[in-house]
Formats: sequence, structure tokens, C-alpha cells
Amino acid sequence: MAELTDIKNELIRAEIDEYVGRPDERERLIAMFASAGPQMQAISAALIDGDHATVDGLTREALAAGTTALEVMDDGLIAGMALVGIKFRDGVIFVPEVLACARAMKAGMAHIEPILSASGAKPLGKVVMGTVKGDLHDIGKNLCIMMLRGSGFDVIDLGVDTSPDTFIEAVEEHAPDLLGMSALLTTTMPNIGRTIEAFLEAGLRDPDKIMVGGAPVTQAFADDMGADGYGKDAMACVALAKSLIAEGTGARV
Amino acid sequence: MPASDGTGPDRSDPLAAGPTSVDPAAVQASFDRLSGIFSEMMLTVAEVSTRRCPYKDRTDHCTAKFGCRNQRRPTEPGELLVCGGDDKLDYRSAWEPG
Repeated sequence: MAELTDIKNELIRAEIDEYVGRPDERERLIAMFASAGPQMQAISAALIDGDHATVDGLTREALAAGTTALEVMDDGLIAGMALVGIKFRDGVIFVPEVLACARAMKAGMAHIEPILSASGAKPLGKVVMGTVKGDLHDIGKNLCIMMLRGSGFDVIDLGVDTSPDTFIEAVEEHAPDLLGMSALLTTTMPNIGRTIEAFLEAGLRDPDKIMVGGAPVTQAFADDMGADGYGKDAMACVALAKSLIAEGTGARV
Repeated sequence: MPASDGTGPDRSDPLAAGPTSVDPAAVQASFDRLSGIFSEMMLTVAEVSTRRCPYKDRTDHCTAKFGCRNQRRPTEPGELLVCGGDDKLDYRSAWEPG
């Protein structure tokens, strides 16, 4: 059985020692990290630290040195995220730190996805997402994006306060399968409808392309605005995106 | 490293040598594993967000890009604003529109 001291990376050793109390999880993590090489451990450590620039550089180096894309993904990135999940569940870190780790994960996946894609493992679909005009509340959107990317979607994040014109330009540029919009405020919710209207006016509206969400948004409101799907949270967002893709209704702009 | 005559593959570009074979089932298994980790995180998000503002980081600083009545001046210049919320009342009522 692997011991904590078998893990070469100091940060990972310290994190497991300090934050992983459950014996089964401790044993599983120790075995996982101990079997990974120093370079994979370094990627995990940078991800746990939310250091996207270091994850970017180390992933690039590992791939250039001949490590396979799947090995970097499994033994570097996902292994690190497993420890992040435990720290989050146990209240050591909170949503902002999780999102920083997700950003670091994305920095690594940016090098891995083209390799997977070139070898036939295509993304489940492409999604453009943003909060609507006037809305700066982005936690829900960011969690949706994290979940979508973790499920194998390619997501273009337009950020916050996205005007209808910006949504339209992004759809024209990226030709996504799906468009996601979120609003947290009752005052900005109508901008979901205004954006959909702008797509109609631009002649770009595909019948089953737009999904919406946000704390005050309901299925009835989404229906009234002419959206094609509503997700109440990040998990529902992924299920909805998969369902729209599976129906083949989200295949065109 | 690239060959000295410049014709060899550029090892700094992982795609330069061409795609290697990747088992789609193994890729799917990896995404399933990642998705499972994230799904468990979402359960924690749902639970934690009932009692703690999701924009508040582990050091009680505010990461929001909008105004909130719970925001306090940082202790050091250049730091994020400090969250003054007590996590007892619904934090959402303190959020401001922009």
C-alpha cells in the first residue's frame, strides 16, 4: 500500500495530510498521486492552487515531452480536481476558489482538447454563454460553464453584461450548437426576451437553440420569452444541453 | 527540439507530430469521472449557498464584479473588498443591480 511519503510533491502531501480525513479517501488519493509521475503531480498541485498560468505551462511541457493527452488529463488535471472537490465539500474552500481551479483546469484542457479532437474524440457540442445586458451576476453562469466543460462541451464564455449584438456576433463567429443566457435580476430578465427578439430580427433564430437560466427565471418565463429550454441549475443546464444536442435540434445556427 | 535543418517536428507543439490514437471510450470515461466530481460539487454549492454568499472567498473577501451593501474597504490597498455579511440574513438582498 502506498504511503503519503511516496508522493514527491510537497504541496499535495501537505494538502492530503491536512484536509483529507476520511481513511478511504485518503488511501485512494495517496495511491492515485503516488502512482503519478512528478510532472503530473506538479500539474495537480498548480491546479489545486488555482494557478492557471502554471497549469498552462506545465501541460504544454508535458505534452511536448511525450506524455499522452489522456495521461495529463487523468493523472494531472482530474486527479487535482478530485482533491479540490473534497476540500470544497468539507468547507476548506468556497465557490470562488473552486472557480479558480476550474479556470486552471481549462488552461490545461486548452492543450488537450485539440489532441483528443484530432484523434476522433469530438466535443459533445459547442455552446456560447453569457449573462444578459445589464447583469453582472455571473456565479450561476460560471458554474454552468464549469459543468458543461467537465461534461465534454466546448464553451465560449462571453462574460457578463452581454448585449444582444455581442451574442449575435459570437454566434456568427463561432457557429455554436447552443446559446445559453442567464439573468439574476428581475430587472434584467426581460433582456433575455430582447436578445431572442434581436436574433429573430437578424434572421438567425434556429427553433431549438437557446437555453436560459438564472435564479428568478422559470420555465413559464422561458416559454413566454421564446426560449427553447430552461435549466434551474448547473446540473439541469448540462442535462438540457445534452437533450437538445441528442434531439439534433441544436445542430444549426 | 526541432531538427537543426528545420524540417523535423516542433516538439513544443504537441499537435505537430500529428494526432496519436486515443481510445474514445477512455476519453469518455475520463469526462464521466470529471463530471462526477463536478456533480458532487454542485450538491455542495446548493447547500452552501443557502447560508454563505457564493462570491465570498475563503478569506472573506468579495469576488463580485457588482456592488453589494456588505462590501467593506480592504485592509490593504489593492486587495479585494472585504465581505461584511454575517451569513445570518439572506445575502442576496444586499446585492445591487450594477
